[in-house]
Amino acid sequence: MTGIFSDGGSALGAALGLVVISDFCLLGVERRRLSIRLIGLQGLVLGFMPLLVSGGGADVHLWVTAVVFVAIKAGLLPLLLWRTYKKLPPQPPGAFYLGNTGSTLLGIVAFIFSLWLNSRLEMAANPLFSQIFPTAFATIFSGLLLIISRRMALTQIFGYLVMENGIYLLSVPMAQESAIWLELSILMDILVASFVMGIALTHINRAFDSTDVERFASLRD
Amino acid sequence: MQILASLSGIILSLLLAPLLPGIINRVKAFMGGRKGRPLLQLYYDLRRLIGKSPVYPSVTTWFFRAAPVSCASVSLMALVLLPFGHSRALLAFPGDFVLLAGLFCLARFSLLLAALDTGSAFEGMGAAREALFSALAEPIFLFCLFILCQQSQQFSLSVLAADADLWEEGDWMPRLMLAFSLFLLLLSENSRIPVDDPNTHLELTMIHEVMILDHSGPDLAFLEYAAALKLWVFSLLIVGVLLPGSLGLSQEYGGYFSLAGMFFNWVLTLAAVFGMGVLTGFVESLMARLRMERIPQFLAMAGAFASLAALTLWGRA
Repeated sequence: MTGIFSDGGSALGAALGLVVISDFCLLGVERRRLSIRLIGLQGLVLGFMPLLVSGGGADVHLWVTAVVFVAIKAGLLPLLLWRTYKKLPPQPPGAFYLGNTGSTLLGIVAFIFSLWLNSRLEMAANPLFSQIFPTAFATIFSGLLLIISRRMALTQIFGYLVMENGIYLLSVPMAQESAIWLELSILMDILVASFVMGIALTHINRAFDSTDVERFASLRD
Repeated sequence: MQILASLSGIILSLLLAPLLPGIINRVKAFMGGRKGRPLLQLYYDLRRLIGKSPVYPSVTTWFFRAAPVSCASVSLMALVLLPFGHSRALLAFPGDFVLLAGLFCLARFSLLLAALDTGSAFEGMGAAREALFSALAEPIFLFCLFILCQQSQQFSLSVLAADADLWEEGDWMPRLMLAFSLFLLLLSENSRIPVDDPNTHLELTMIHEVMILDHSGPDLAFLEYAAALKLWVFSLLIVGVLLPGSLGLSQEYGGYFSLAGMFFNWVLTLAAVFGMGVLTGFVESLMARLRMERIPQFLAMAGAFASLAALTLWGRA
């Protein structure tokens, strides 16, 4: 029986679709609980990406890599974010420099730009690269948009993680050439950064009674 | 045999549509740690309501009586236009997707008129909300259908059926986006959480429920049944987008028009439609209602995903 996904390419297309959907949902939602769940979902899909690009010929090395990525991206990072979120005092959602609809529209523009850029690039040696590039680039843009359009520090961390996911996605076509280990080291940096951000957030919150970065502008001697 | 396959799909839909809200309620109850209502609760409700005699407010005219019949017949007509899994629709012609969108508009229009006909400010409020949100949702729905139909150049909903060879191998990304956009519209058009709560009777939050408050007896049964059919139609549409074009097993048994192939199509499609019910139940359990002012943004998201699907499909062409 032919499966729903007759080959790895279809499964990869579906996974990339899920990544774009989670990107735009993150741009569109204002509730942080939902954002953390979406980051977990995105991490889960991205974690399996090395297996999907291998096209059914995954060896033990790729399986271990996928398990590690899923554990970190879909388990540890959302858990850390969740704990930080729980520690913060309840705040009404919706502190933006740019609203949800505006961010989503800009996200669409970024996606169009990614598609255009992909069509302008010369044929890559690895054909997977041209399939993944628009999604990866759109994910990086979405992360940047999240960082610059939100006022709350926690939501800006979401943007940072989404941007990192985009960079990771760019390295996925090279998974079989062991470049993924380079990415693992970057991921460890991100993990440490999340710890630091968690601590920094607690300090910011303690000093200013809020994580609204707008309040930093009013710093005086 | 093709007509038999289409007819059987319609009969199955008519019989099983009230099961879908039951599945959603059971999933919500399960997620909330409760036992929940019986799976067949809507069937019991419909039987009870059919047995009662209707009561009409004295100020109402024939608009009020026409709405339930109009809504139910429109939902039935939608089933005739929509393919059931891999079997073609009973009625298929170029441009039938516009008729489908128009039929839902007609049902909504008659329901709005019935709500306004009661003269109640309460129902007028619900009608105003419904009119506002549907004005935003309908163009997106039509756009989604247009993307689907344009894909095959036939401009007919029956392109969703397997033999129309609609999608290419690498089209999963736009398909998922289109299905997600339609899913957001399903939540909005069928008054589900996060747009509306079918269980609430709080005047500040109601949209659909407030419009049918004055209906009773068989009229209410018709409206409830029409709502279940509409939910079924939307689920069937999403299943049509997501179901793979061809399945080896069915071909081995002589294609979709043999008895075995038809049975396989039924099982696959019904499982997928009930799967949509489970997914809706999960979403309703995990999300809270949106504030009324946020609903246009929710619909904007549906529009964004439809645009992304179109961009991905047409950008490649």
